[in-house]
Amino acid sequence: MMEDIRTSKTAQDDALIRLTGLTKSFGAKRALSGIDLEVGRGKIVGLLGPNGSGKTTLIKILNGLLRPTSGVALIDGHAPGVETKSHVSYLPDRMYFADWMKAADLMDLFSDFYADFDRQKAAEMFSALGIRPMERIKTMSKGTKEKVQLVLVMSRQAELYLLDEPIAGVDPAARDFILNTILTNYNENGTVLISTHLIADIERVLDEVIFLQNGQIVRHDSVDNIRATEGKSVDQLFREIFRAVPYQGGDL
Amino acid sequence: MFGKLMKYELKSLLKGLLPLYGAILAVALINAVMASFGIGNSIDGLPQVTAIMLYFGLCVAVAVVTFLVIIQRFYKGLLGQEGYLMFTLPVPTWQLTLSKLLGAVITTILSGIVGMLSILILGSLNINWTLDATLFVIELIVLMLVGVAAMILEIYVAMALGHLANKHRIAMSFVWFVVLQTVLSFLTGLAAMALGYSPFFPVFYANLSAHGMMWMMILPCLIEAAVFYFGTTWILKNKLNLE
Repeated sequence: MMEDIRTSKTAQDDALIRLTGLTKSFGAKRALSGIDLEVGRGKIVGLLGPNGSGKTTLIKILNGLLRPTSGVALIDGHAPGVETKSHVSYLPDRMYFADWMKAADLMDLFSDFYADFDRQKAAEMFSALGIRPMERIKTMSKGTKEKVQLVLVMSRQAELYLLDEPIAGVDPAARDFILNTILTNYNENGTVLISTHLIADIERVLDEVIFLQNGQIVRHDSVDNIRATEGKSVDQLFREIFRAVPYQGGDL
Repeated sequence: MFGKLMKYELKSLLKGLLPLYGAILAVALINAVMASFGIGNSIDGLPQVTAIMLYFGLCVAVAVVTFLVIIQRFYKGLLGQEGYLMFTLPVPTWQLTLSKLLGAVITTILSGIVGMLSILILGSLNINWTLDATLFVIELIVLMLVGVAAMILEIYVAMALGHLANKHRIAMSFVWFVVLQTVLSFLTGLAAMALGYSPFFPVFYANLSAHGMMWMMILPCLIEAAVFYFGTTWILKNKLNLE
């Protein structure tokens, strides 16, 4: 019955993510101001912007970890909640396991709570990476911890993957591994939203980009379109956009 | 889903406590064995004194660790980094807060049982049992549980309120706890005065049985616990503000 409701929603609304006038303030500081956005299905989308542009805030709102000050965020027609959480796979920009957990404990937890988690796949990726399931995560290196979380997140057949800075803290070799893991494992009917400021590294995998600056969307376009109309790479365009306004002092 | 939450909650809570439980029971046993040999007050008594000191030290440790673990499981487990995992699981917020509360109450009971057991092992429990006493014990246990739950929930709600601040969250949690405690004391005082001046209450109170008195204490705790539980859940559902 759940399935029926979801399909009928899909028929009405083609957008997987729909944001309307989304605003989030922290005290006097505005992290997001009046964002309108639609993101479709089956795409890999880059959420690009310098540090402090509101990328993480946006992703946290989509995950229900923050409540918007005003405006509406919908995923597949639902506000973030139990329904959306069962279809959204989230890689946060930090470690989120408990101190006592082993890789196997996290696999148990994911199998227990997410119906779309493929344990076999996760176990295979762990063994390919040389991560022993009975190893305590706390004692692993930073890069390995990030890989553990990525493997878990990408072993779900989710409708939406929200990856917050998946390549920020790792060396270039690990970066390639992470990107390849994302590309070879995501659910092809689902959408992947990757936030980053390291554009050159991920440009080749993106279908669409969203440029975020001071909590506002300054551009949302397909990568092909940018290359055709601007005659330059996304990385070059990014550098131009964010260099053009170096000392604007912030219209926060 | 709730059962699964409880499974992880208890696992987290008991990781640190089970070894302590084992230690306290073992040391109680050692004390009992030593006492049965009846060692005197000469230098031979030194191991005995050491064992007794160790026993009391462990008692204090169990109490302190139980308390700290309960607070830590809520703060780190929901409002810290683990919150990123817990709040993105497809479970409603009330189940998250309830699993924390139940886990905390179960841990408190377990620590209590282990404490009692250790005293039993030491061999100094000798109670004259009657039906009325049984009822009293049940009421006392209910009072303790509800009282413990109310206190834990007061701490939860203070932490939930504290996490709304964008800076100094732990300090703000302390501030909120003091505020809540002040309000509670004020309300209790106010209620006592109001009841004291009402024409019916003194008569009612004078005729109250001892069991009635117990329930007079349990009921306010229950209301307090309910208000704090729904308050905590409401804040985390509608105002969640993870760092």
